[in-house]
Amino acid sequence: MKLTKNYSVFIVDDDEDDRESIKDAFLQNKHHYDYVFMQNGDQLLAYLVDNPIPHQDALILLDLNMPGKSGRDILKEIKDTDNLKPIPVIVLTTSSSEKDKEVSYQLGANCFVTKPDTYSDLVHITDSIAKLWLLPK
Amino acid sequence: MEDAVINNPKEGLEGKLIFKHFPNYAKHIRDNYIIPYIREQLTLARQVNMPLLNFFQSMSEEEIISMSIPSHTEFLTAVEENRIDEQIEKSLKLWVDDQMGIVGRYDIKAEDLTLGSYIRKRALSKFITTYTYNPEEIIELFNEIDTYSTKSNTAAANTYIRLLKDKINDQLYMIEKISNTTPGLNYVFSLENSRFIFINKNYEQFLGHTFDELQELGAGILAGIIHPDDLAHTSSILATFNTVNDGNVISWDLRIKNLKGEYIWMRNYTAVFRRNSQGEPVEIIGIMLDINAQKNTAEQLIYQEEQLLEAQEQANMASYEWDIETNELTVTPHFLKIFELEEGFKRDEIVKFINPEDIGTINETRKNAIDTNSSFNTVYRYTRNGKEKKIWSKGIAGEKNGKKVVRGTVMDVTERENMIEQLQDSERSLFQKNNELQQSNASLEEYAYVASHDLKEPLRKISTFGDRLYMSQHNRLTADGQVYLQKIIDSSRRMQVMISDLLSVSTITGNKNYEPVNLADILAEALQSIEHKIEEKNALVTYSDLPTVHVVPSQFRQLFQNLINNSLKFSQENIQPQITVTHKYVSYGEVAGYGIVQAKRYLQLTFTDNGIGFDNIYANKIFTIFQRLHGKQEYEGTGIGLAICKKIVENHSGTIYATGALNKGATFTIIIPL
Repeated sequence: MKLTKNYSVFIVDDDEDDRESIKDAFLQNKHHYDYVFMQNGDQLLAYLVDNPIPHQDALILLDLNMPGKSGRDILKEIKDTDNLKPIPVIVLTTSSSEKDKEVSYQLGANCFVTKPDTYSDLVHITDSIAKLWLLPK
Repeated sequence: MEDAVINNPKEGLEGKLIFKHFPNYAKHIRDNYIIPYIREQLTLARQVNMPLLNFFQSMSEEEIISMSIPSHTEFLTAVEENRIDEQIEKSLKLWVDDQMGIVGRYDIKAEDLTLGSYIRKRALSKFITTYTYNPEEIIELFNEIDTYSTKSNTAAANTYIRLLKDKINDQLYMIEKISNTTPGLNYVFSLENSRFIFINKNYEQFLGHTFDELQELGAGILAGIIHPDDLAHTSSILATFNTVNDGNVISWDLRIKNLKGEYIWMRNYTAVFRRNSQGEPVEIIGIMLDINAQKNTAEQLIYQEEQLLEAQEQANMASYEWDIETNELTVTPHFLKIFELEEGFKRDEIVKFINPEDIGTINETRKNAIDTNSSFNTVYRYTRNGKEKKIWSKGIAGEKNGKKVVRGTVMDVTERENMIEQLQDSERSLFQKNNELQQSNASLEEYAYVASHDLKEPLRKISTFGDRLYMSQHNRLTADGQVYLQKIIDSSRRMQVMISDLLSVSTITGNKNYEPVNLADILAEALQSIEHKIEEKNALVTYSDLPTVHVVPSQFRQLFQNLINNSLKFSQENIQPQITVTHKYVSYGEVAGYGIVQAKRYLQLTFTDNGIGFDNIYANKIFTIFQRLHGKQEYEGTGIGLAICKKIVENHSGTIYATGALNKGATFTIIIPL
């Protein structure tokens, strides 16, 4: 299913392998969107300010442990900013800690997903996310 | 003169006097010569210097005469009427009754009596020649006057003696009364023959002997009543009376035996009472007072003081009194030893050897205490003869007889202070070690957490990319290649599990969020979460009422879950797994051997199963992390379950141990303090 519309998926992760793997997992099920890689939160925030896009066209996959501003800080800033708030943010992190999960949801994360141990799981997860995201469109 | 009755004096003394000439003669004097008669008496009294005259010194001769007229008139009238006995009796009664006006009863001296008789006789005789010249009549009259005079004189002498006797008796009575009401014993003792001449009534009550019984003791009297230890001393004092002046009172203490046979301490005040013609003392007079109570108290005080001094010495302690004005110190004996001083030292000598660094504090605290009448408490260093001592000095300032003084104690606390220092040193290092240990524990846990977190990343990649490789490329791999790749993936997954386990163990310690929870509820929740496994094994878990205790609920849920899981996992084939959970309370005495913290009461939980059990030699090993008693092929798992159990119980300051026998089941016992 190829969409003509230019949807953007922001993959915010300091790990290059993970960024590529996540993108590949999406593509495994032919979800062709505009994949934007960000190495940290500051880059994301700066990009979103410079390139305003309709919130319904964007999806953010956010890692928690990153150099510089942590994923939590970014999450808080997004959800505290009126025009960014509606953008769905999925926390995709190595952490499986209850505390991280709780804090993330408190700050407004739309979903908390622990990075799976296998690639096939990652493919399942990305597929589900994409399908859920596209539902209202 | 035929009818004349001349009573002889002897007869007249007993009977009534009847005179023949005297009555008329008396009338004659009264009527014609009363004033010359009185004046004659006065003149004669002056001539012989009659003592009684002293009472009339302030009066003129005429005054005395006119004052005397009535009594002389009365006397002469009585003679005239032959009532002379009555008159004598009357005048004596006035004397005895002390109704003689200016002259008191005891003012009349023996001299007055003899001289008075002489004067009266002379005055009465003086006027005879104016009355008659008849020689016979004159002689008879003289005789009658003489008779009267003798009788009057005798009666007066008797009265005088009677008065004297009464007076002596009065005095004796008073002396006896005083003596008997005086506290203690009054006595007069004869040194010549070692006998009591007098002793007051108190003696009988005190000694239980009568005066006579006492006399029977004879010369052995002192030995009979004086304590043997005081006898020599008493004898030596008695001997000194030879050289003692009359006014000197000698005092000494001695013990006298009372009627119960007890010796009572008495203080004896004695003086010489009578001396012989050579001036040697023959009798002594004294008073003995009971000082037993004081003496006993004093003895007790001495004993207590001795005890105190001994205790002070034992404690390396001494007390002192410091006179601020004179800077003089009065100290107990051990003071000298503590400060290594000689008798007669000065306070400055001590100050000289005190560590200069401590002088400031000492001066300041002492001054403050003296200024405000308060106390001080300091420890200072004192070095004399090359050895430093630590002196603990406490004192309080106050007043004694209007003088400012400081009273206090000093104690050589060198040993104690050194021990305290050592103790503090070891305490400090222990505290430091403990701190280090806590830090290392904390950093270890942090390390484990971070390391396992970071370890997970590359592992996940091995697993993820291994997985991708297998998914996309496995057709191109040989059969061997496929097996190898699968092993890589399996191993990485297994390691991921182990890291997660490690992570979970490292987060157990430190969680002390205790809540009161019912353990039966917690167990029910644990069973719920592994319901499928229980059903799968068709296991039977039985438990009675479990108590409510303060624990970390999530950890106990995990603990129970792990224990049940463990029992299910190691159940025997073909036998229904049965797990029984029981509890009881135990005391410290029953659990002391497990090195558990001390508490009043403990809860003991036991999980008993009928599984494959284990050899008891592995009882400790099974709680070690990643320790397995069985091969991976037989039983899955990393060997983390029981390690977590141990960690949880330890986090609750408790202990867990297992007992078992091969193929006969295992029992896990948890003990936690309440």
